[in-house]
Amino acid sequence: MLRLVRAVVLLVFLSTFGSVWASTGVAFVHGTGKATDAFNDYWTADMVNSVRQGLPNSSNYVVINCDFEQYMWDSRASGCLAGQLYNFITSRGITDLVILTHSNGGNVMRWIMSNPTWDSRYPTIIQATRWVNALAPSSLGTPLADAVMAGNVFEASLGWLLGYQNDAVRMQQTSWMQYYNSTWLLGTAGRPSLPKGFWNVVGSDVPAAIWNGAAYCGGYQFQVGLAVTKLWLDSCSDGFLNCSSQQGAGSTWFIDEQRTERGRNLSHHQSRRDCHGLDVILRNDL
Amino acid sequence: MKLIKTLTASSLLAITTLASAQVTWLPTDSNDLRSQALTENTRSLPASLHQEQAPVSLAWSANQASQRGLYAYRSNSSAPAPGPSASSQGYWVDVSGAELAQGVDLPLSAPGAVIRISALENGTELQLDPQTLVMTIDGRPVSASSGLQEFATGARMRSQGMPVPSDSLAFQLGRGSSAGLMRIQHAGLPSDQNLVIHVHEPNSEWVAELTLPRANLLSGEALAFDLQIGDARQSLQTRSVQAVLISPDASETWSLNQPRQGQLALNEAPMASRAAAGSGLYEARVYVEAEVNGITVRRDLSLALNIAPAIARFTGQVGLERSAGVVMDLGVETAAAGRYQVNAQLMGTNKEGQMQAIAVVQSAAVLDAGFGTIELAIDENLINSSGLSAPFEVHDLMLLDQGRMTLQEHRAKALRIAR
Repeated sequence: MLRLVRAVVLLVFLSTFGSVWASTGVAFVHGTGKATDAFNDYWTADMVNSVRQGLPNSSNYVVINCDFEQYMWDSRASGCLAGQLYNFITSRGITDLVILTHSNGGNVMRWIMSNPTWDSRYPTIIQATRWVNALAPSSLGTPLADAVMAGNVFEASLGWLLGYQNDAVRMQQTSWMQYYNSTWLLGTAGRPSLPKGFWNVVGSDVPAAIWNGAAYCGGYQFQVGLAVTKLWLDSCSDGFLNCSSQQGAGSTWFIDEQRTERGRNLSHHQSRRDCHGLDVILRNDL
Repeated sequence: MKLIKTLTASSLLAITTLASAQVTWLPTDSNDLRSQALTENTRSLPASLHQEQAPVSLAWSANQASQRGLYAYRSNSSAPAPGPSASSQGYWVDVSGAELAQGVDLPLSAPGAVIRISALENGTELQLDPQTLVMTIDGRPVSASSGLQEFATGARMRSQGMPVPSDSLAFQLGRGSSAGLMRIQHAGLPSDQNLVIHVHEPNSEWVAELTLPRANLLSGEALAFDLQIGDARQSLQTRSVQAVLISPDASETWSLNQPRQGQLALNEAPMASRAAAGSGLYEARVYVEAEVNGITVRRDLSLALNIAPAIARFTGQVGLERSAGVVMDLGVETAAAGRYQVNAQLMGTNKEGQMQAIAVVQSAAVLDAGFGTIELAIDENLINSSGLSAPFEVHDLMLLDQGRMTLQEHRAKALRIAR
C-alpha cells in the first residue's frame, strides 16, 4: 500500500514539475540587420508567443538582438550571439536547445557550429543544442547581393565598391559564401558535417497576386517587393534566396508547400512570421 | 584532451619514431595546399584578431547532424566540394548623369533583360522617373513589361532586403524587346552624378564562367583561372577581355594576363600591402565581350579567393596514442605567434574494406613562433559507435591561422593509421 501511495505521489509530482526539469528551450536568431527589438520588429509577438507554447516551460525562450550587419565572425555578430545563447543556457540550465534562425542568422549560427574552437563558449552552446531549424537560410549567398556589389572597376574608382554596403551584404555574395563554405563553414556538399543538425525550411515561391489571399499574410506590400526581386533569382525562390541557397547546407526539413496550410508558399518575409501554419509546425517540433 | 604542448624539434622526432610504425603520411594530392618554406618577412603581417587564449578542442560523430527522425528526407551529397567558380548573365556600366542624358548604349543578347539604374551612393535625392526614361533597341522604341513588377523603386527593393541605394529604379523589358543594341536616356540628373546600370539577362543562353582550381593560395604561387563564354553547345571566341585581381580593401589591383584563349593568369599571387585580418577576400574581376551572329554578348564576373603569407605548416611529425581512442600530436612550425586551428576527419574501414567518416575533430591553441604541437583527440566511444575499425585515415586535414583568417595547409588525404 505504501509503495502504491509513493508511486502515485511520484506520478503527480512528475506531471506537475517535470516540465521544469525538461530544460528544453528555444532561441530566435534574426537575419541581416542590427536588431534592438527583434521580438517586435523582426519576428513579431504573435510568432514568438505561438511557437514558445510548445515548450514544457514557455518562459524558456530567448530572442536574440545582435549586429548582423557585420561579418559572421565579428564579435558583434557571432560573439554577440554566443554571449546571449551562452547566458540563456547557463542561467536557465538549458540542456535541450532548439535554435530557430532566419536568413543570414543561419550563417552566423553555422559559424559557431563550424568553428567550435574559436571561442571557449561555443562547445557549451553546441552541446546544449538539439538542432537548428534554419528558416530560409542564405547558405550559398544570394544573387541580390551580387547585383548590388559589383561594378566596373575600369570605369569607376575602387573605393565605392566598399562604400555603401555593409559587410554582411558583401559576405552574402554567392562567390564569397562559396569561399567561406569551402574553408571556414561546415555542412555544405563535400564538406565535413556539422556537430548538430541544421534543418532547412525552404520557401519556394512568392504568392503576390492581389486575388491570392496567401499574399496578405505578413503584409501585401512586402509580397509585391519580393515579386520584383525574383527577377534576379531562379524560378524556385522565396523572393530573396534561391531554393538552392536555402538547401545549400545541412539537410532539408521541408519545402514550404509540403507542410504548410493548404500547401501555401512562404516568401522570405513570411518565413519569419506566423503565416500559413509555420508557427504551429515549429511549435510542434519543440 | 585539451592539452597543447610546445615541444622542441628533437622531442617531436622521438615521438614520431615511436609512432612511425603505426602512422604514415599519405601521398599529396595535386590540389593540396602546402608551403615549401615559411616567409621570413613577418613585419608586415596583420595583427592576429583572436581573443580566445584557452586551448579548445571538440570531436563529434560524422553522422550526428543527420539524425532527426521521420521528417528528414534528404541529406547533403558527399561528393567532393568543387573548386570555386562564378557564372554571369549580365554586366554593369558606370555612367555619369551627363552620359545618361546623352544616352548610354547597352548590348543585349536576349529579350526580357532586367535593367537597374542606381546612384552609386545613398541619399542623393535623385529624381529617377520612369516617365523620363527613353529606351530603344536598334532604333525601335521599347518599354518595360506591364504588370506587377513594372518599375520597382529603390525603397521597394530595399524593403525586401535587396540593399540597393534608395535612389534606384529597376524594371524588366517587355515582350517587344529583343537582342540588339539598347539605348537608354534619362534627362534632368546632375551631370556629375555617378550612377551604375546593371543589366541582367535571365533569358539569355550566353553565360560566362570563371573557375579556379582552389580558393586558397599562398603568396608567390601561380594563379591560373579558366574563362569560358558560351551556351550549352559552343564556346565563343572572346573579342575583348579585361581582368584584374583586387585586394580585400579594394585599394590595390593587379592585372591578370591572358596567356591563351580561355585562361587568365598571374605568375605570382601577390600580397596586399594593407591587409587587415578578417577584412574580406581578394576578388578576380573579369569583363568579357564576345560576338555571335552580329550580337554582342557582354559579361562581368567576380570570383572570391584568399591569398595568405606562408606562416605555418605541419612539420610532418606525428605522435600517436591509441590507448583511449585516437590521439595525435601534430607538429606545427610557425613563423609568427598566433592562434592556430587544426581541422580533420577521421575515417575508418567498413566491412567492405571502404573508408567511411567516423568523426570530425577540431582543435586550436595559441602558439609562439617556432615549433609546437596541436593535439587532435577522438574518443574511443565515438570510434566504437561508428562500427568502423582500423586501418584509419585522416582526411581533410587543415591548418588555419585563426587570428588572421587564412588557410595555411590543406591535405585532402593526410595520414594512415595502421591499427
